[in-house]
Amino acid sequence: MIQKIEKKPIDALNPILDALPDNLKKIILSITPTILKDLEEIRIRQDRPLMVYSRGRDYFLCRNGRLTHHADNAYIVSQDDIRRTLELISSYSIYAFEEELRNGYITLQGGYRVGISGKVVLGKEGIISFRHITSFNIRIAREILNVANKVLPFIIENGQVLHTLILSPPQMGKTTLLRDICRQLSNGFPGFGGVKIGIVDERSEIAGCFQGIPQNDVGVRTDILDGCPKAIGIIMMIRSMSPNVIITDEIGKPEDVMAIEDALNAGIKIITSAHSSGLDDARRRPILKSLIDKNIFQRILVLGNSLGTGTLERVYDGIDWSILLDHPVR
Amino acid sequence: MFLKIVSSISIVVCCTLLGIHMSNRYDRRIYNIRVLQSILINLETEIVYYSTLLSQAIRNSTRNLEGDWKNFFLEVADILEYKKDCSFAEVWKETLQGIKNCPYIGKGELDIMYRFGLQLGNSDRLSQRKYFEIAQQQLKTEEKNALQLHFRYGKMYRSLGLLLGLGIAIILL
Repeated sequence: MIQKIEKKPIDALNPILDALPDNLKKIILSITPTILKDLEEIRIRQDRPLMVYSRGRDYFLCRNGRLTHHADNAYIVSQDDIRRTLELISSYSIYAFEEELRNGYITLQGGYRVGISGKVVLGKEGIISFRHITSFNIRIAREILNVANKVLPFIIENGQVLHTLILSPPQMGKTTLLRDICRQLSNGFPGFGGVKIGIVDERSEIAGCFQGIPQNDVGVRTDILDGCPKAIGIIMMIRSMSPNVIITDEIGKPEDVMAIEDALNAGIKIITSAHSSGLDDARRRPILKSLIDKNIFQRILVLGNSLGTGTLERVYDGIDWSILLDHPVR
Repeated sequence: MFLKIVSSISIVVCCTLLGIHMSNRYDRRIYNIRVLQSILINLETEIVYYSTLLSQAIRNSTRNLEGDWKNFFLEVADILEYKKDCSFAEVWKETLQGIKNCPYIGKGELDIMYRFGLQLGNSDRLSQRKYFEIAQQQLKTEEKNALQLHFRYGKMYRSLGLLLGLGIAIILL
């Protein structure tokens, strides 16, 4: 299996560098190129050391960009750094990211996601906003192409896409897999002509939209409803965009189930994912149990990390419960 | 004698023009306040209803408008887009300093805009709307003041210019 990892060249980090105050930007640019090339996260926490995560481990950063494992030598992030970073990542427009802030992140140009934490203000309907933002986690997204190759034979039968549920614990690559499934189904590949895809991307994770434009390759026949709640978005997609397949991430609410059933009745295929370590675990969650027991999904894929992140552990036929893949594949 | 007549006419014309110029300051200030009110209405729509990013919202809001405030807002948008080493409050204050000496902008509007700028963009849409409402109310008061000054001094400067010119001309003749 050939997986093509799109390494982001340093130029591609520009949207991230533009979102940093000058002093932090200088520090990041002073990091050795080998570490910078494989940068995965930049951690900015008020009154604590500036950190980066690269090549599977974290490092503190000194004022001159030198990497260290001693927090005492590291650059300490100031309140002004935090305030300036917030201004820059929001393009001086906090109001434009109200909904995203409630979900704890802002998406930058290039599809990079900035996680945010601090003091939350609660209202009757949940989180209203953040009062004191004190830390940022800038994640450098890596697009992995062709990761869906191992999965496609299971979810396409006689040229038809099957209703598919992907079960996976967090950080096992289910969104990456969904994205590549989307790209390949949308563009088509030898033996498959390509179909219209609708993505309902509630948390902007699949397409990584910036101002409505997908920053990740999700295919040429793909329409995206960005930041839209899944239940509403699925219905909107059915009514307005006539997709052949709807792809959405992390189902789990009762209204999601109703929307999925609507899509099924409209003859649209659904490919979605849920947090779960396996079929038994999923059956212990009432919402997933109802979906699984109704035999809605024709294929259930289980991801894990027995051979590394993104391993396809098992594939079930969701109708007769036969096991279609009983050994891990990566 | 011919020279005296020509120079007297020149003095009368110059003093009248000076009077008109002084009077126009009041006209132009009212015009600028009204343009500013229009810009803020457009900007509020861009921010509250479309959630457009601030620099683009400013550009959209000033389109089809003229005047000194348009230049101010466009300068702010330029700095936001190309200069990333200062905070929005700093950009706003510095750009306001640049138009502080403009004869067609009153201190009242400058103070209103100074306070308004410190809140612009840094909160949710509901709060932003309130800041716009406050600024608009204050600008209305400022517009009334400007109108009163216009009626009180505008005509006076026009007449004063002509009379001053005639006075000097008579003395010279």
